[in-house]
Order: sequence, then structure tokens, then C-alpha cells
Amino acid sequence: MISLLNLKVIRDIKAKKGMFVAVTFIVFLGVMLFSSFYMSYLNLKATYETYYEESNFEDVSITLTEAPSNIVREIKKIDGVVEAEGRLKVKASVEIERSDIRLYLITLPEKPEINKLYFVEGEYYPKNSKSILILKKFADYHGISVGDFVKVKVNEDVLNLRVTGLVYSPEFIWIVEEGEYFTTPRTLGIAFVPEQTLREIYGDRINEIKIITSGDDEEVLSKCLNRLKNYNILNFYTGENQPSKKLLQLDLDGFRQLAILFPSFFLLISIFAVYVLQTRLVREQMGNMAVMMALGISRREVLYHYIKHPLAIAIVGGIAGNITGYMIAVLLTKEYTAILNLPYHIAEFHSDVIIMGFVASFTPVISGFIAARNASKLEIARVMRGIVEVKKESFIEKYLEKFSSSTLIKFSIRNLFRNRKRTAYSIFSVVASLMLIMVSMVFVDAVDFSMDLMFNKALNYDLDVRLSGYESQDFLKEIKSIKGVIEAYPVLSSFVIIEKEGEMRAVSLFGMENQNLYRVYDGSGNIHLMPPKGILFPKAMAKNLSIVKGEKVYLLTERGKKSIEIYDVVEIILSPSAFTSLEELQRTIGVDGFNQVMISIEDGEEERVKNILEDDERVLRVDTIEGYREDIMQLMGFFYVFIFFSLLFGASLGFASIFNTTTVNLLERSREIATLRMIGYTTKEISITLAVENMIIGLMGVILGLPLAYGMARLYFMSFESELYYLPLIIYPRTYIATIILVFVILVISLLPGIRYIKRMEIDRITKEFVS
Amino acid sequence: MKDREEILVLEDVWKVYRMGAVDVMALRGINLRITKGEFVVVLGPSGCGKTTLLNVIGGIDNPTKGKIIFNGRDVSRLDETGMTYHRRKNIGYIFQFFNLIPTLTARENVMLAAELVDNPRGVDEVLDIVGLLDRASHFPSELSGGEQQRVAIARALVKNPPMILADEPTGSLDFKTGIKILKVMKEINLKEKITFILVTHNSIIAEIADKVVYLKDGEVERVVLNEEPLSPDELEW
Repeated sequence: MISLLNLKVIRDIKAKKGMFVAVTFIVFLGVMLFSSFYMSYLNLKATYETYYEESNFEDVSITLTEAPSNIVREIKKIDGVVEAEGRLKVKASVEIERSDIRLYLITLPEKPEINKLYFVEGEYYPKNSKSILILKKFADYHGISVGDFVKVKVNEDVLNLRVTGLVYSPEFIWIVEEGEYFTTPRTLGIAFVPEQTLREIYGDRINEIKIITSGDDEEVLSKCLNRLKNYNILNFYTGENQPSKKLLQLDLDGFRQLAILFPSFFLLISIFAVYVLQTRLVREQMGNMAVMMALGISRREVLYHYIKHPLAIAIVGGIAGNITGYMIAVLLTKEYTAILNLPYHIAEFHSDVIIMGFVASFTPVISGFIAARNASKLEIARVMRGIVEVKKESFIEKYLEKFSSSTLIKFSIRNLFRNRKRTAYSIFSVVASLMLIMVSMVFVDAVDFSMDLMFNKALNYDLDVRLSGYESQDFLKEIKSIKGVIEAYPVLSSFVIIEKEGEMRAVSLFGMENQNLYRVYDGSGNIHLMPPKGILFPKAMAKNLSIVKGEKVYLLTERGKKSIEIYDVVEIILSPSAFTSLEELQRTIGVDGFNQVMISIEDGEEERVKNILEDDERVLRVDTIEGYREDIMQLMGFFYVFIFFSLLFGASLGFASIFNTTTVNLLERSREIATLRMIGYTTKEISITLAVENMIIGLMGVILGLPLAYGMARLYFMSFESELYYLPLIIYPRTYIATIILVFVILVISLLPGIRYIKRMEIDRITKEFVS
Repeated sequence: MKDREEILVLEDVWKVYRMGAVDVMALRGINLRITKGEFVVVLGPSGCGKTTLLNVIGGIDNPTKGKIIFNGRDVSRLDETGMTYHRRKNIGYIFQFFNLIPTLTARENVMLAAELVDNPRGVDEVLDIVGLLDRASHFPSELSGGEQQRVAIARALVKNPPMILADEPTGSLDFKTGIKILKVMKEINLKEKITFILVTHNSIIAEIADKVVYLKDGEVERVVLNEEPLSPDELEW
């Protein structure tokens, strides 16, 4: 049978169910966010690691201009090399619905041992067959199935290949293509063919070597580079630095940060929320407890009794949070991996996270214990005599009151100083809520700013024409003569290795004239003209390589090692590249021409001009600026869902905690409010005084919260910054305004139950109640 | 007494509460006439309907049936706003537990009520009447029980209401302080001609009333007019 004191716990909770629900909700959100994000992080980590392990992912990769295939035999002899495979990776295109889509063709041995493919359908092709294996997402996007024949154009040859498998490759979980903002299956495909297929075209040569090591990857890489020093090395990295894997790692780090940062806010708030709630409960029941203690209940029993309320909150919040967190983690893992090129996902039940989440849910019990301990230490005789609230006016109160001649407003201001801990907690809740709301909205600003900068200022062309080879001014004249073409500018793009003191980085380098169709902007929105000499270099990479403005670095190009000056270091948004003048790049890499053209088109002529260009043999592909925008917006879909939930959680935190304090304040002052109503104040007038209190709390929260939110956003953005990706921290005035409005809306909404309570309160009963 | 002097008329006033499945008849056909400036004591045991009577007179509750005419105006069917304005303009309240706002000083507690009406009396003036002007800047916690109740009287008085309702005003005070409070109330009644309705279960207090209304089971048992009411100084209990 349930003991009477336990029954009292249940009834206490029932009597204040709104407040208990609000506090439990905060704990629930904290645990739910922790377990969902942390489990998602572990799930994604397990998915990636399992896939990399199952596919025997490369430990070292080296890209060369070209080398004979037998060089692999030499590499295999190097100490520490367990397995090595050479392959040829070439640019090609596949004809789909009379349009050529870019395709990377990669040769594979009959049964590859490194970077093994995962077959969704089909199997490795028979040796020397006219077969092709296509990346699943690309095939799905373009409606290609196993058994179909595809026309692949490679180096002037047209191959008619039979699709024998749809695959996933561990190298292309996240496809990173140099010189592009985002790569999607719409514009780029990856496919694998037997070695013989390309050998017939290119001869017996390779341009990539994939290696499995037995130990120190860096050491093996160094030995391999030494062995290959007579060849022109274009790029190299250890498995950890493979672009796709590195991006995934950055992403995972973000998940882990979120898993700690977000829930910390909620659990911290819950500590204060429980303290406020439990202190109120104890104070309200002090008289009863004094009587019970007078009758013989021990102090320890009182302590145990009052700790049961926060325990109930922790248990309910912990269980519900963990269950929901687990379900969200499964969903999040599934949806997230679906965006990537991953064959499967692992969504496990992580008992350790559940235990951690459950332990975390008990954090508010600490503050509950403080309140319970105070209850157990009550002086029976003093409580029985009645406790009188002692008031001393502070200097700040006197100062604030000068702004108001109304006694009712004075009443509001004094209430703020009545329970300073509670007021501080309310302000802290507003600060926390504001920080979560603003940081979420800042991401939208950063994306909006970048989109605006890219599509309304930086990229003013309509078509981006990639050429199969290098073309001269005659080709440009031809393009300009096409009806509908307004302007056309040549661009020379090249993927180069930057070397400084033995450290190397791959970077896309664009050479172009100063013109209006493509302008280089930095994260602050300033234009940077193409330098007459030297290059504009992305800041994140410069920082990692300790490169400063004015110094000279080496470029490893297809035509050897060249020295070049860093003209300026610039924060280039989204996908950082390097820029220089067309002449400088032509001179540096020894090319007389260009391989890309940007074109602006008259309205309504875009499709026609695009078709003309696509039919030109010298053109590899034509991308529209609209296509880029669509790709990015598609990718942003998941991001906006994330922002929406982040905002929702921030607002919920604010509502639950402010509702909690407002309700406690109201209950504590119900007698005074009833008296005010009794002597003739209307519900509206009293509600205004409560609103004034909440607004002052809101104002304080906003004043303190805005700089803190800015600092947090800065930290957050810095943690996301990488050589592969840069998003500027931009906060539009609209975000400040919207955040402040939202915070005040939350404050008003959290007042509504209180106003309802004032309307319904039995003023005659309350004014007659005995005051303990 | 002539009709024009009547401030309050209750005609067949009923109040029925629904408590679960049971109807509780708190007031059963109360008929009462109170004239301006009268000091009325409503006397009766616990549960006889004293507070309910005060609530329907004071506009805290509406009667289930019957009429309440206050200064010639029917106030028995007022809505929430109407009742609030009735309390604001016409009624001053004094409670058993004083019900002062602990965060406001004595003066500010009185000012809080003064701000409710267009032409209030002077705050210091009413504090002087109750003999607390020198303690005006003290917070309730710095005042004795009797002093707190005097602040409550000043708070009721400052609105200059034609009627003050007092619910067990001496109930939580010791004898001496209780007498002092009754004295203040009686003096105000005599000097300011403000009608007082005082609810109590202490029959001794009835001695100071002009009119004593005996309530029993929600009904007026009898009304006794005191030709020669005593001064509070003469009371003993």
C-alpha cells in the first residue's frame, strides 16, 4: 500500500500539474536532445566506420599526371604497404536524353581489394567486358537501371556500355568536386569500368594509386612520394584527409558539439526550474510540515519526502526523453544517411547513452535537494508562529521607481526584487532561450547572405560553360556571335597543389579578367579585384599553412613546380577557392587559352543558347546558374528543418521556464492579487502589472542575451569553419528584431495561464485564508 | 428612518452554492435595510452565511435570487466589470488578516487604493486619521498587527467610499489592539458618516453597533436596533 507521504507527493504534483509538467518538459527536452543527437552521432560514426572497414578504405591516395601501370608493383614492395592498386580516373560524359552529363570514369581491377564497391544491384563485371557500374544516386536521378545501355563519351571516343551494377563507393559518400559549390547527381556522375575499357583508349597507364598500409600512413605516404618523385604528383593524402571522409568528420564533430551544447542549456535551466518550484512548494507547505514534525515526523523523513518531487520529474523526464531521443536518433540517422551516398545506416540502441541521458536527467535533483534540505531544517516553533516577509528597499528599486508614478508599477518593480534568485533565474531563462533562438536564426542569415552574395552579386552570369580542352579567343568570338549572348568572359580553372615548407594543400585556382559576370566577394561583402600579380588565397587554408599576404608559395601544377606570390588573403564564402588574373594563371601553368566561359544571356534565350553550346564538340558541359541555385536549395531543405526544430526547442525552453516562474510568482502572491481585486482593481490592470514584471525580465534578458548570443554564434561558426567550407557570421537587423519579438511573444504567452488564473481566482476565499 | 436615507436594501436575497451533488443554501431570503452612516454588526456562528452576505453586498459574488439596491441602484445582476467598479467606487474592505502588500510601505499601500478613484482623500490625511502618519514609510513587516490593521482601515478610507465592509477585523488581534481598531472604526463612522458593516462571531462587539443583524442558517433571525451603543472602550471580552 502506498504510504501517506508518498500519496502526498502524488497529490502535490497533481495540484500543481501545470508547473510540474513545465519543468518535466524542460528535463525531457534536455534528455531528448542529448540522447537523440549523441545517438545520431554514434550511429553515423558507426555507419561510416563500418562502411569504411567493410570496403577496405584506402589509407593513402596519390594522384599523378600519369604513370605506367607497373609502377604499382614497385609501390607494393615499399615497407608498410600491404596492398596497392593503380587505376585511371578520367573525365567523360554520359548522354542522357540527348544531353551530356559529366561523368568520372574510374577503372577497377576484376576484384578490387581497396575501396570495394557495395552492390545494391548486380555484381563486379567480367574482365574485359563492355560493362559499366554506376553510382546508385546518379542512376536513380537519371532513371538508369541494370541492363540499360549508356553512351559514354571519353576522349573523342563513344562507348556503348551495358550497366551491370548499381553501386556505392566509400570514396564518394560525399562527392567533392573541385571548383564547385555543391555537387549533385544532376550534374556529375561516378562510374566504374574494367581496366581494359580505358586501356584501349589511353594505353597502359594509371593516374591514381590507392594503398592499404600496415601502420603509419604518413610514413608510408612519404616513402611512396619518394618512390614516385620522377612522376608529376598532382595530389596526395592519407585516408583521414580524403575530401569526402574529412567532410564527414567535420559533420560528425558538429553533431557531437550539438549533442553536448544544446542539452546543457536545458539541463542547466531545469536545475533552476526545479529549485524555484520546490522552494515554492516547501514554503507553501512549511506550516503543514511544522505540524507534522511536531507530531513526530523526523527531519530525515521530511528531506526524503521533498526530494521525491524532483526525483519524479527526473524519472519521468529521463524515461520520456530517452525513449523519444532514441526514436528521433533512428529517424535522424536514416534521413541523414539518405542524403549522402551511403548504402545502409546503423541505428543501434546505445545503452551507454541512455544511461548517460538518464543520469543527466537527475541533475535538477541537486537543486531539489537544496530545497528539501531547507525544509528539513525548519524551526518548528518559528514556523508555527508565522513567518513574516521582511522588506528592505534597495537602491536600484528606488532608482527604477523614479520612472513611474503609479503605485501599481512600483508594486511590479518591487516584486522583481522580492525573490532575487527567482528573478535571476527568469532572466537567465530568457537569456538561454534568446541564445538558442538567435543562434538558429543566424544560420538562416548566413545562408541568406551567402545566397544573396552569390546569386545577386558575385555570380551574374547565366551559363557556365566548361570546355573539353583549352580554347583561344576565336572560340570566345564564336560564342559572342551567338544570338542572345550579351557578354562572354574566359576563365581558366585549374586544380593545383599549394606547398609551403613541406605542407601541401589542394586548391581550385581560377584565372579570370576583372569583369561583371563573376566577382570575388569576401565574407564581409567587399569586392576583391583580380590581382595583376599573385593570387587571392582563401583565409582558412592560409591560416592552416601559416601563409600571409605578400609571401611566396609554390604551386605544383601538371607542368611542374612554380613560385607565386600571395597577393591577399581573403575570407571566401562557401567553397573557398583561389583567384588570380587570367594572364597570371596562364603564365604560371603554361597554358595559352582558357577552359571555361561565363556567359550572360538575353531573357528567354537561355535554353536556345544552352542547346547550341551543348551541341558543340568543344564543350564538355553547360551549367545554368539556376541549376546551381536549385541544387543548393535542395541541400538546404534538411538544414531548414533542423533550424525549425532548433527554434521550436529554444522557444519551448523559454516558455516552460518563464511559465514556471510566472506561475510560482502568482501563486505566492495570490493573496495580494486577490486583495487588489477586492479593493477594486480589474483583472486587466493586475495583468498589466504582471506584464510589466515580465517585460522588465525580458528586457534584462535581451540586454544580457544579445551579446552572449552573438559570442555563441561566433564560436559556433568558428567551429564549423574549415578549408573546405566557409560561412560568414552575418546577423541582419531583422534577426535581432525577430529574436526580440519572439522572446517577448514567449513572455506574453507564458503569462496567459496566469491571467486566466487571476480571472478565476476565488478572491473572497483567498483573502480570508490564514497566513502562515 | 426615511427611505431616502437608505444606502442598502436587500430584498429576498438567496445564494445557493452547488457543492458536488449537493445544493448548499448559504443565504435564504435575506431582507435587510441599512441606512447611511449606520454602524451595523452582523453576528452569527461559523457557517451561518455572514461572509456570503458580505460578498453579495460587496460585489464579490452575485446572489442567486433577489435584489440588492445600493444607493438606489440595483447591483445584484452586475457582470464581472460592473462588480469590480462597484467595489472600486462604493466599497472599502477591511480583512481579518490585513492583507497588506508586503513590498509596499504603509503610505504606498494606501496610495495603491487612492489611485483607483478620481477624487481620493489625502493619503497622509487618512493615515493621520488612523494615527499612523509617523509610521507611513514603514513596510508591513515593520508594523505591529494593530498598526497593520490601521493601515488597512486607511486603505479602505482613502477611496472615500460610502460603505466599508469589515470581515472579522479584530479576529487576529489581541483584546487591547482589537478595542483600538474598533475605536478607530467607530470614530470614522461617527465623524465621516461612513456606513460600516462589520461581520463577526464575537457577540460583545455587537454592543457598539447601531444595528445588530443576527444570522442563523442563512436567514436573518432578528434585527436589533441599539438605541445607546457603547463606546469600544467600554467593551470587555
